[in-house]
Amino acid sequence: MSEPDFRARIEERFAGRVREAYSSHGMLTLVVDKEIIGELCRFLKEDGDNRFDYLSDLCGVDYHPDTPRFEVVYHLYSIPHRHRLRLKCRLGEDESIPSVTAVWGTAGWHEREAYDMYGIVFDGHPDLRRIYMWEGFEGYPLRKDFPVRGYKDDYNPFGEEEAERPASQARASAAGQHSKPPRFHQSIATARVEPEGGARATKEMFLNLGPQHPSTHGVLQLVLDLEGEIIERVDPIIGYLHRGTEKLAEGFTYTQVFPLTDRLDYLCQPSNNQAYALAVEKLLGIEAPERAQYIRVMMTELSRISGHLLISGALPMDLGALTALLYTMREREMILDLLEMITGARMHTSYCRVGGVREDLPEGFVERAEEFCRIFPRRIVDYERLVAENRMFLKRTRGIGVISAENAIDLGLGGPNLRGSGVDWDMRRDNPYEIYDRLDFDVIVRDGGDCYDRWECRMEEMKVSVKIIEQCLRQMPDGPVKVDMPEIAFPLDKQLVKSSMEALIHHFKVAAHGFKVPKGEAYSSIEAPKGELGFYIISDGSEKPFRVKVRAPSFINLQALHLIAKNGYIADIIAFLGSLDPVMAEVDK
Amino acid sequence: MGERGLGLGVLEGRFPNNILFTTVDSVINWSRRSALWPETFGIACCAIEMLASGCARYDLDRFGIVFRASPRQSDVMVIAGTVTKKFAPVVKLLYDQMTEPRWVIAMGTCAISGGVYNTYAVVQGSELIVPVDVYVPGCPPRPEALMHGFLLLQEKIKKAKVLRRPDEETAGSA
Ligand code: SF4
Repeated sequence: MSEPDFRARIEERFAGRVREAYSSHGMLTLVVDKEIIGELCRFLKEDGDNRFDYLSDLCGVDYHPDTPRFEVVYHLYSIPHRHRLRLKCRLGEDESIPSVTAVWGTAGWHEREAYDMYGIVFDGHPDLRRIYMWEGFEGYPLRKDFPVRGYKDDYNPFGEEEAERPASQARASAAGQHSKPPRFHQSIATARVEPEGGARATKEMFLNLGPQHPSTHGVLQLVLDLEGEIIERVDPIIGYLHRGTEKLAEGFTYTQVFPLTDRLDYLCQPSNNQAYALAVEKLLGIEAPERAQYIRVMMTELSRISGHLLISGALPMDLGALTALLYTMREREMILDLLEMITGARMHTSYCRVGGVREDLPEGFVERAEEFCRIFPRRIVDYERLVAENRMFLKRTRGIGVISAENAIDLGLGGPNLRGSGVDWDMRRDNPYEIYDRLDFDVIVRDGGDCYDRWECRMEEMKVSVKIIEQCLRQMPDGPVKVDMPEIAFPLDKQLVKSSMEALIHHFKVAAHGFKVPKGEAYSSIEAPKGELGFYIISDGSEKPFRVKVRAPSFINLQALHLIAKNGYIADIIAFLGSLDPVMAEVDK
Repeated sequence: MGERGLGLGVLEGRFPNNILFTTVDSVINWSRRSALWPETFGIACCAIEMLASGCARYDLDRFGIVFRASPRQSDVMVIAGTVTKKFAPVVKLLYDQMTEPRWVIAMGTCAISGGVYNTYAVVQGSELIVPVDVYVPGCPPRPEALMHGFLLLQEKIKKAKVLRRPDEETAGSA
């Protein structure tokens, strides 16, 4: 269905309530009254012709000191029709907005995040608590009047003076609460049992897993509510690695943001770089040269293998089969060697630039990469023999932690977690970006939706990635690796800086001040190893982004834990977690 | 941060600096530095490099360094990643749970100074929470750098006075 069609349908149904409708960088945007948001979302989801069944992202924006101050932005996607739509609601300082959790389950954590960062209240949200910061933290960090360094305390001698804190920031936290984090974070589960104390016939138990636990893959705390061995509910407490990436990005130039994106999903840096670069390029209306696109795609696929390798070794390890990890890490070193050869860094590559990549591939790279492509598929066979035929592993993953296709879409899962549940959606094929439309590859789908299927999807995807890399190596044309726009990128020929005054000035300006990006907003997303990784960037026309929202797939995938853990055995929680593959830095941002 | 004990209770720091106690100390220190057991405790990206150091290619085991899952069984804490304010009380708790003698390696710029994350959420250096013995710079430090950090720690342990009084000059070196 084409864009004007559904636009007309919406305007017909909600006449007078849609304030503005415009298209921005290829995405239709509707500004609507906040009162109708619930009804509109339900209509968009259920109306046969629209079928926006997937909520990609939901975030807040602060336009302080403009009024109305806040904006809530929804990015919808339709898996059957493969199109996107953006909704916006404006609201003032003390206003609240209806929650859309009843329409899409995935909205739960998104809304909690917006509440935590902006103090936006969502009416009807079943569990509106802080998600990253601790209860009792004063202020809303992403508001424009909150300083990036926060306020001075024992842990941060560089913060602003507490006395200068505007009164508006402490609005929702009760007086007398200290801003220091507590030693243990109570979830509602633990909070609930205390007053009742023993009034029940059966005895419940609370188990605290993490935040320091070898199997949580980082700093994640799970509060489990147990009935014997059965999990009644699980409350993941996240935010232990919340570093303020989005806030920090608002003070950086567009190029300086690259290193921050590296540190999101720290197993697959090149894919984060690529997603961010594409979003900025969309705002600028430029495209990287062909060769650069091939290089980016190849690096993303390399990093996909490296990310999948780690988790497909770590899941068996968590379940007691330690050997696999030692083998997968061996192959991961081969990939790190390749990345190091290109970028000079093993992990945080920061290799993409707006309009291309930093520099061309080094000599001898192609041969090394070809060698890797020759060796690696044989090694995958080894892992499969080691793990996939291991009866213990099968018993602990087959039929365990099943997610139905419907739930997977409702919860906004992505990547192998979604495809493991039988949803055939891969943006590399369905909304191709860069040069993916020239490549020939399969999308791996499994129908079971259990831990094993998710694991198997990753194994198979590694094989696909090798094929993609091989094709890239074969097809890659010669040519420049960045755009020839001296006001955005360093000159192709570095020597020019030494001979041309103009080039020198441009070089200095780009290095010292960055470049201006026209006013506007763009959302761009890629199929990252963990799912849809999107960047929503709002530019106010200056050298620094006004707002950078990261649609982090791990964050959303982790939310599904409560669904699959319910009524599962306590021992399986490790398998659930390992099969969802959350990277905590990306979860917490 | 109070004085740190070296784990020998009443015997500690009581004896003169003579050949007998110098020898005893060096035996104690030899045994301590040869089996440093770090906690399996990763926070962020640096933890991945720590994991890589322990795996096949770099193989920390050959230095006697074996990761333990519990703080009660380990004597080195590698702070591998960004310590946030929310996480700081946990780091302190884990440190307190380790038995003496215990050492801390701050791995990566985040653990050293907060690194690029000079924000409302991040502790500006783990020294503000626990006493740090060795700093390993890098973002992330390569596995070789972490190994170098461990070797430096071993050097430090080698020089420690355990039974001997801390303030006296060693005979011969004066
Ligand atoms: S120092 Fe760098 S690699 Fe280490 S945790 Fe910090 S950002 Fe990650």
